[in-house]
Amino acid sequence: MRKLLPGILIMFLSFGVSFISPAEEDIITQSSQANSSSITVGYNAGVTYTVTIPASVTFTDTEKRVERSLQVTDVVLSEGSTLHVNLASLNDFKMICGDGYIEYHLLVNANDVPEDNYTILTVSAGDRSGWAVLDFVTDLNRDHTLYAGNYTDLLTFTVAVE
Amino acid sequence: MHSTNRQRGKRICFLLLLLLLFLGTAINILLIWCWGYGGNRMNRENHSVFNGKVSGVELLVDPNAEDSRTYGNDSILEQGVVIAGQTSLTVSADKKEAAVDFYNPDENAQLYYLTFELRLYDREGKEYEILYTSGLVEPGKHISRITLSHELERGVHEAVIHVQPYRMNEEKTPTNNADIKISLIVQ
Repeated sequence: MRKLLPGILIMFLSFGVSFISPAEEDIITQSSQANSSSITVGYNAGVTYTVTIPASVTFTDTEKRVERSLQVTDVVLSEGSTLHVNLASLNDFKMICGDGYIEYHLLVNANDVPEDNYTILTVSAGDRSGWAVLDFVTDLNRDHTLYAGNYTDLLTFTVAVE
Repeated sequence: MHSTNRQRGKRICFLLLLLLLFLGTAINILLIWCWGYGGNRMNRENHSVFNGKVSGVELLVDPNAEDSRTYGNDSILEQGVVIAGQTSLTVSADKKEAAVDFYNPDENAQLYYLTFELRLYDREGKEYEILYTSGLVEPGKHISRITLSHELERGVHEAVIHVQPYRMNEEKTPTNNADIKISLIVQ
């Protein structure tokens, strides 16, 4: 019995040591945690937008006021900047056919717009979209000298972010 | 007795003739109403002189005729042109080749081609020269590399991407267009 006792004691101690000593994987993990460097989580949001312009405006004898819409969607702007949409006419808001012409004018959201720059829409940073209702109104009346033909004008929508 | 039977036979014959005459008249009236009056009543009321017929052709209301339509409200014409915006473009000072993204969005499918023109403006922002012009770009397609007309000086220049849409019809009719103001960065 006396001979067996030291053997049992040695066995017990060796079990205990293996039980309390950390595994090799744990040692590596702890070591790597101690030496880890931080990583950056980021998102680079570039300035973007999508503009939808009216393709054409066609007046008829029965329709002298034509409604169209202008939309700006998916807007992402830098803080403090603003998106502007201006309108310009190739013939100074006259539809031309030869020497003849028919004048027309524009209402934005049912209001007159200043003719010097024709700013028709403004979208501020933070807003994701914007839109405006454009009413094109022809000034044609019965007294106007009119020749048969196809009267046209060309509109340019200028978009700027400032 | 013999004469009485004869008289009775005459009466029966007379009554049968009357009945046939009545039936014939009734059938005639019915046929006239069905083929003539009933089928063409509207035209007869409006065009009594022609009795609903012109050169033997019956006048009927044309089912293909529609209410007068205003082209301004036509749904296809009202579909706007979608244009992707941008605010800057960076190119190398010593190269005419440049990486860009001139894109015709999918929303214009079957409606509009787009062309792109890169315009370099002077300091006053009035006069410009054209650095690049594309051909027709189909919806869903990109132009990712362009060659400028000449190399540029280092700095930030005022420029415009002029986007001209064309209808996807045989005539390729130009529509209203857009100028996208950008900063052209040369480095």
